[in-house]
Amino acid sequence: MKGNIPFFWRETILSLKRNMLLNIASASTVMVLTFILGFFILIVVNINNITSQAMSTLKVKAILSDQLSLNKVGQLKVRILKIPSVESVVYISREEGLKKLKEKFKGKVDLENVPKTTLPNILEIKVDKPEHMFTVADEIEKYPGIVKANFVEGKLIDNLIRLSRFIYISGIIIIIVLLISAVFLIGNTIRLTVFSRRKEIAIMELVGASRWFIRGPFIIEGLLHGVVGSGIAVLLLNPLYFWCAKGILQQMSFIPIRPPGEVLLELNLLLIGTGILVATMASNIAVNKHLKI
Amino acid sequence: MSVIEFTDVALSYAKGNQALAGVNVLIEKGEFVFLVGSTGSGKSSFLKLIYRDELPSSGEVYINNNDITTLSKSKVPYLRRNIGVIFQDFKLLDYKTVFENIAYALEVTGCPSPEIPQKVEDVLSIVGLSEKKDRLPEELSGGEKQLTSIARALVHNPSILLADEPTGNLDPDSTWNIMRILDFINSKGTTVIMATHDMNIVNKMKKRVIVIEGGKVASDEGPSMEIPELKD
Repeated sequence: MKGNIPFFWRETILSLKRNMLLNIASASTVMVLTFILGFFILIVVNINNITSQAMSTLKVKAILSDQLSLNKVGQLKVRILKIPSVESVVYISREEGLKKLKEKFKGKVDLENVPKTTLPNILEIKVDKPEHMFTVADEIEKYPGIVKANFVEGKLIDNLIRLSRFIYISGIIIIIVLLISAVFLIGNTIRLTVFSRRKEIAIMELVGASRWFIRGPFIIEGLLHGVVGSGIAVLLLNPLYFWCAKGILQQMSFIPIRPPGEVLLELNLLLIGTGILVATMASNIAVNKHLKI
Repeated sequence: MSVIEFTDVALSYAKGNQALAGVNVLIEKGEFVFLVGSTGSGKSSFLKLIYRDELPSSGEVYINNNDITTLSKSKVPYLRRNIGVIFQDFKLLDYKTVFENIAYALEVTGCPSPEIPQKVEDVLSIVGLSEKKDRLPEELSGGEKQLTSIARALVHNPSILLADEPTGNLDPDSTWNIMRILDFINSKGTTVIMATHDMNIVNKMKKRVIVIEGGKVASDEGPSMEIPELKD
């Protein structure tokens, strides 16, 4: 087989020259599909990042009874830490809470005259997964000394969990649909090039060429369509993401968008790999339909 | 020793057309056999069964004593390297020269590159086309195209040569040139089976004639027989 590689390349180059338009159409199909795929993956990755970051900053807040001594607070912390899904428990006294609030709204709202008894003493509890916040809150609310346990915007968390699951599942479905349609679309385009070369295939079959020999040049052709098409898609997608990420980081820095350096290398490799895989698969399917042996 | 043997062979196509039925034929090594019959009688189907382009619906086809109906698909290419096939429409690649068309048959079967030029030159000299090896098919006459096709079929040194109406598109001079070449190839030991309509050739060549009508062997006679004109 090794000695036949020059023949495969020669035949592939000849076919590329003779079917220039069909080859451009095929590589363009790969390009459009990998571009859409990449674009969609970037959206999914970023929305997932936003939701997981938003959820990771949320904590269960337990409002403590005013009569609770610091000693009792310490015992409560130990008890709460024993819950398997709890990662950390931090005591925030009402003075500390007010101080933080003042810092947060410094220059915006005047909180200087707010009495220090306005805020309760609280415990801030971080849990391992956002969905555990509900059970942890329900559990510790039963503990003596805790007046109420809740987490900010309980409904928001619920919605974020649902959104994140929805994006994840629909993302996988859309990616699968895209990949299947890519195989069909590219397969159809390659079938045209295979059809235009049906005479060569018939002659090769007639004179005793093996299946591998007949398929070889077509598979190399598919591989080239994959490399060129996905390569162009990557070249378009990278600057586009750089530009979008830069704009968002500058104008809306509170949105935790993934920096290009973190996501693009993996994405590029994934897109080029997918482009090559899908195009060679499509090429293989197309040529197999014309083979009688 | 039989080279080709059909045992009670039947062939039906998907639409239910019965191409061949109850065919029993034995062809010895080195024979020259004409297959004659009207259009649609089953001559081409007979040839297709030999190079495994079709599989019989029932019965067995033996090539060199091996039942090729049970041959796996991956082994079909090796069978075909031992069987040369030529057609009425030549089946040449327009963008390749005479030399390249012949070399192509060697290249696609994995022949080492250094051996190709000599093998091609050898078959070109057999068919007398050495002078025109750099021409494209469009620069050749019909007879020369068929000679190129014969050279390509011979390049693997096959033991069987199948010819499906090879002179159908040719003028009388080219026809007789082709027949002389086929006769020469046969004289070197290659079994030749030729399907034809041309009773003039059949009667002049004085070879074995198998008449196929309605998918059945109507007669199978030796070289001396004079065959009447066929109905078309």
